[in-house]
Amino acid sequence: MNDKRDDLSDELLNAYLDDELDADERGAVLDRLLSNREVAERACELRRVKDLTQHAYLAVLPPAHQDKRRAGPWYLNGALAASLILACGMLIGWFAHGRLAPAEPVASIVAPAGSGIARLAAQHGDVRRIILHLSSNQPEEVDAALDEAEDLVSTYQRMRQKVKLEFVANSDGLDLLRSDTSTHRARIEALLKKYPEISFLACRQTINHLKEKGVKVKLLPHTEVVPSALGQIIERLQEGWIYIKV
Amino acid sequence: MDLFRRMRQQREVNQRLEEIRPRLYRVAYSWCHDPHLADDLVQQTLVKALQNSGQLRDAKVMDAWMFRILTNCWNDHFRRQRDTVDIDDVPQWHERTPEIEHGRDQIVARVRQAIAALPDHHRYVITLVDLGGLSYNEVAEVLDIPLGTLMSRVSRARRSLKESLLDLQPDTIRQTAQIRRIK
Repeated sequence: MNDKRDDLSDELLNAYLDDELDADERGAVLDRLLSNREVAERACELRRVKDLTQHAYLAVLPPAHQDKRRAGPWYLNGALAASLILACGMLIGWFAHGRLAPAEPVASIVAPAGSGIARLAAQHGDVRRIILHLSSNQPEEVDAALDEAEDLVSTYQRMRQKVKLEFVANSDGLDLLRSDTSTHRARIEALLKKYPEISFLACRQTINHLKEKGVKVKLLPHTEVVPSALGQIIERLQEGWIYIKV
Repeated sequence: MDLFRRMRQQREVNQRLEEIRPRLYRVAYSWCHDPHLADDLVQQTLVKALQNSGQLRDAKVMDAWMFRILTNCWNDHFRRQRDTVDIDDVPQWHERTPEIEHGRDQIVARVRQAIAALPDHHRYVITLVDLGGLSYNEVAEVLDIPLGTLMSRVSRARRSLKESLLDLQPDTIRQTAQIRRIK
C-alpha cells in the first residue's frame, strides 16, 4: 500500500485542502491519499494546521457599535438612504469640487457616499453640514484643521448660508482636545465662542485605549464624546454630511 | 426603474457588508493582535467601501475588493507610523489577551503566537485564506501577486506553522499514528 513514491507537492495538497482544485485534480489527489500513507499523514497535518488557525480566531468578533437611534446595523442607516447615496453619487464630485475646492491644499475632501444627498439635504434644510476629521497631532496638520474649520464656517456665514461643522478627533488627533496636551486651548475656546456652529467631538475608543495604557484623559470644556470617531463619520456620511479628512 | 434596480443592488451591498464585517475584523486582528487597531482598520475599510460603493460593478468580487481596501488601510497605518515607530518595535503579539491572562486556552494562544511570528507575506496569505475565506484567485488579486507565488506562500506558511504547532496535543498525534500503523 505504501510503495508509491510520496511526490505530491505541498502546494497541491494545500490547494486540495483549500478546495481550489477542479474535479480531475481532486480525484487524482484523493487516489494518492487513499494509496499512500505518507501523503495521507501530510494532508492530515496540514488539515490540522488549517483547523488550528481557524479555531484560534473563531471567538474573535468585532465589537458592537450600538446606536440606540437606529435599529439596523451600526454603520448602515437603511436601504433607502444608502440607495439614494448610490443614485446621487454623480453629484458628489461636482458639489465637493464646486463648493470646497479651496480646501484641497490642506485637507482631503473625500467623495462622500452621501454627497448627492448632502446637497439635497442641505438645500432642503438650508444648512451646510460638514464633518472634519483629525487623527494626527502634527502641528501643521492641527493648524490646518483648525484653519479649515474656521475658514469654512466664516465663508458660509459671509454667504449668509447656515452651516454646522463637527470637528471629530481620534488617535493622535485627540491630543488637541485633551486639557493636558492641547496646544490650542485658547483658540478652541475662541472658536467655540465665536462660532456656535462648530462642535468638537472626541472618540471614546481612543480615550479607552489611552486609559488602558494608564493615561488619565481629561478633555477640554465643551468637548463632546462620541462612541467612535469613524462610526460618527459613517453615520454622518449616510445622513448626507460632507466629510473632510485633514 | 433604474433607480429601483440600484436600490436593490445597494441593499445587497449593505447586507454583504454586514456579513463580511466579522471576517474583516478577524483578519485585521490576526495581523495586529490589537482589538482597538483591528476595529479602527475595519471601520476605515467600511468608510472607504461606502464612499466608493459606486465603483463596485460586480457584487461577486466584493469580498476581494473589501479585503483589498483593508490591506491598503493596514499599509497606510504602517506608513503613518514609520516616522515615529520602528516597524520591528510594533508589538505583533499582545501578552495581555484573555486567553493568557486566565490560562483558559493555551492552544489558541500558541497558534496566535505562531501566526504573529510568521513573516508578513506569509501571514497575509494564510489569514486571508483561512480566516478571510477568500479563494486563491481572490487573495492573489488582493495582494497583487501571481497565483504560483501565492500557492508557494500558502505552502511555506503552513509548513512554518506545522513546525511551530506540531507538539500541541501530542497524545492525539501519537494515537492517530498508532491507528494508521495497524492499517
